[in-house]
Amino acid sequence: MESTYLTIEHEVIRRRRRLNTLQGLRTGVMIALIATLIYLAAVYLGFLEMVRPWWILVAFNLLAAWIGARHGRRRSIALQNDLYRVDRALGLDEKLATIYELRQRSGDTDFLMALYQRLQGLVIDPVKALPYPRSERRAWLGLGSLALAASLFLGLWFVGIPPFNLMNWLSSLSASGSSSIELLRLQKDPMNDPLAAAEERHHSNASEDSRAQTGAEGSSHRSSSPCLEPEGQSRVTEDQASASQCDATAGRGSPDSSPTASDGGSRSDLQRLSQELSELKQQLERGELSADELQKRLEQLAEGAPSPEVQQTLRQAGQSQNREEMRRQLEEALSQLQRSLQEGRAASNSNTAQNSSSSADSGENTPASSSAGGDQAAQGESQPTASQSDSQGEGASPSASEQEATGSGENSSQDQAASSGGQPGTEEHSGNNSGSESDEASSEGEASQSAGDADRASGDGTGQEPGQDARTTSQGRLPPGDKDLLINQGLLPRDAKMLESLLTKGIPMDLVGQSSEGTPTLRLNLERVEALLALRDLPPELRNLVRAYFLAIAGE
Amino acid sequence: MLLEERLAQSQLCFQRLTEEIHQVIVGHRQTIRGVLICLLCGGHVLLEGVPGLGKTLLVKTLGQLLGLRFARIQFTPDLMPADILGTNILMEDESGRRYFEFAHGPIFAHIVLADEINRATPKTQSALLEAMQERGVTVGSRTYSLEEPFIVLATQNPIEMEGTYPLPEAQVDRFFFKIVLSYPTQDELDEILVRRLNTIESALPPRPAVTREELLEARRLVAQIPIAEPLRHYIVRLVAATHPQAEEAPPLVQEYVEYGASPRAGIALLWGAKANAFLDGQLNVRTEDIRQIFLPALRHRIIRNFRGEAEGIAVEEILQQVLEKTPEV
Repeated sequence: MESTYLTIEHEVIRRRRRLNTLQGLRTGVMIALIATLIYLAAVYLGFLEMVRPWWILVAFNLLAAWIGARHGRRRSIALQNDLYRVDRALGLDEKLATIYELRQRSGDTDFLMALYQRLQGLVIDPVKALPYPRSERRAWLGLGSLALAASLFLGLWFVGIPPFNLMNWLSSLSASGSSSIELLRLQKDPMNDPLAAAEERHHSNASEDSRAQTGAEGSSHRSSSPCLEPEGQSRVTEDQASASQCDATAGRGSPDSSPTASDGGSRSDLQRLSQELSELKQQLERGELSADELQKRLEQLAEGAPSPEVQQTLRQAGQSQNREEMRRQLEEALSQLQRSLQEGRAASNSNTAQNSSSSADSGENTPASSSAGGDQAAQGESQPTASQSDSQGEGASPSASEQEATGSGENSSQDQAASSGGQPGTEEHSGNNSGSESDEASSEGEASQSAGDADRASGDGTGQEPGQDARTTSQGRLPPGDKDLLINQGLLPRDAKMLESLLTKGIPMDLVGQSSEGTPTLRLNLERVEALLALRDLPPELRNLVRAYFLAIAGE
Repeated sequence: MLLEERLAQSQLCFQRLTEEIHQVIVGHRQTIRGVLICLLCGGHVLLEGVPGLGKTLLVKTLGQLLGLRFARIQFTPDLMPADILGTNILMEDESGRRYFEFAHGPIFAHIVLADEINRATPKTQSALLEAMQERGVTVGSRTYSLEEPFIVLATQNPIEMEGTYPLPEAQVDRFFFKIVLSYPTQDELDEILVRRLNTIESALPPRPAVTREELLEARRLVAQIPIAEPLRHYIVRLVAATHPQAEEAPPLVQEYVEYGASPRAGIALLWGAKANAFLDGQLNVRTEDIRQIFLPALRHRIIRNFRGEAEGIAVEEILQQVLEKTPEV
């Protein structure tokens, strides 16, 4: 009779120890998990350094769980209360608790025997007798939720996704993806005219005729444009001058020029004005307009002229006494407009090529270079600044070395060729017209390298253009262009792949001269930066980062 | 005789007693059970109910079935203590010598029915209550013990307030149980009428169902019934929860109770649970035993504050919340 009770008592004790063990385990895991999360948060915020190796954290949690379980198992048991709980759970009318009481008293044996008798043959289910407390179940549920959230956080963190900026990361990812697609398209475009592509995107009324006309007239000017000299010339000197001129004509360098976001618009204006001038010239030749009408048209066009030179030329044409003079002035104005257009395209191409070519990480070389029909040098992801500098004897500047170090490496041969062939002065135009300059590709490729590269390489002392207040002059070391360095310095977010490519493939620097020590004098062209930002449709926060970066390296 | 046999036999006697009572009294099962519990515990009962519910009949029937001396005292405002306790009477023997002889009052019965106790003066009430507490009567320089079993069943009329002297709380606390009689149901009333078809008076049982010795034996067995420590602690928590300043006191206690239950309440719960377990044929006290006798044991020991009385909060409502909010373990 007593054995039945003793069996039941033993099972109750064992069940209670198991429950205490689980409770201790839960407590240990919870404490360890909370401590681990606090530690990881401190690491994430930069207060602490991550422990090495990482499995120490796992071991810590396991150890805490073991300690908690052991402590729980050794905890004292209030057996009579548990027996009472079993009585209540199984409807035993408190017999177990009473028997325990009588056994402790060592008296009332009559009642004890009678109660033993009434327990005869009773078999209990320990799980049903002492169920797992609801509070413990809720605690485990909370612990599991916390562990799941922590795992998600850590997973995102380890794969480089900022857990607390997930939505922004996703937005930037989609933006960078579309920008990447756009970049690939532009680079594969034989025209390789990202500016024109941006113009197409933002100005839906760009007509085929104006582009064709621009292309036809542009080609005639292209060959004679100092911006796109064939190989063999001293590209640095001439191209610097032409770059300045191109920039001026393109209105980018001029203080009057509208910011990057309006470049596409000004180019459309130029094309429109060019078209109107062409039509006017044809009407003049055909004699369809009277002198007064011609003067009035010329005055109207002069008011809308994008640059003072064109305006002046148009006004002179309007004041001309004879048609021949008028026609000549119109031709001159058209030429100026064409040059401006060409300069704008070349600058945009060069920036595009620079961006696509110069990435430190790279490999992003430009599909443009390949698509440019051999413009690989052009696209020349031109890191090879160093080689350029060296070959040109420009004193490979430390920045050039850095460029080399950042390395795209791909262009070293091209750079050498370029350097031997003399660099195109108009680096900023370089990426632009590669298709037609395949032979000059290497040199143009050099040219297409960032203006900064060309500047650094050539060390040309092109003077600054007047009125280019928008530019910032800095002298000295080239920007690092190193993605990791920028990221570690907090200048770039971890996930700005597009931004990194933008920064490392094209440095909007102009070489404006050379110091007495032989170090290149660089000039930061902020308008080119804005052009690139507009082209890539970067989010506002990344645009600010890019601007800040260039300002920082320019010493602003 | 083995314990279980003794218990079984004693429990059987009380089952028979209960059945016999129900032969005379229709309904009032809880009242009868409460009275029997008090009888087994040696406690006194305060019966409260409107006139005509069968309070006097119950007591008379109980006295008849137990074979005990039964006395009924009708309390009136002019009742004197000597009318209850007895008095010394001047007697003269054959030789002419005069002496005083104590004439026992009705209090010296085994079962005393104190009808409408709240109508007597406090002086008279105190005389009865002293006898209830001391189980003896002191007259002059002599003390007369009251023979066991001794139980007082006092009644109160809740609707009659004019010309009454409500029992002070200290005196009410001496009663073991306070049982409130309710109106019979329609079926019970119909049963009553059926039984009175041929006679206006109730027929009392002809012979006792339980002897005095059996009753005393049952009391000894009830005293031995064990109670587990968790249940004892449960009783302590229940009593503590009736005090408004206690942490475990439920909201109604904190809001409407002036004074909580005394330690007598704990004793009443303990013994009442034992007796209840005995009547159910159990060998030990159960949680249900405590819960079943909680209300009758404590309803007269809780003193409401002015707000509780003004808002008409019933003591039963307060005690019900105490029972619900107090954990069993």
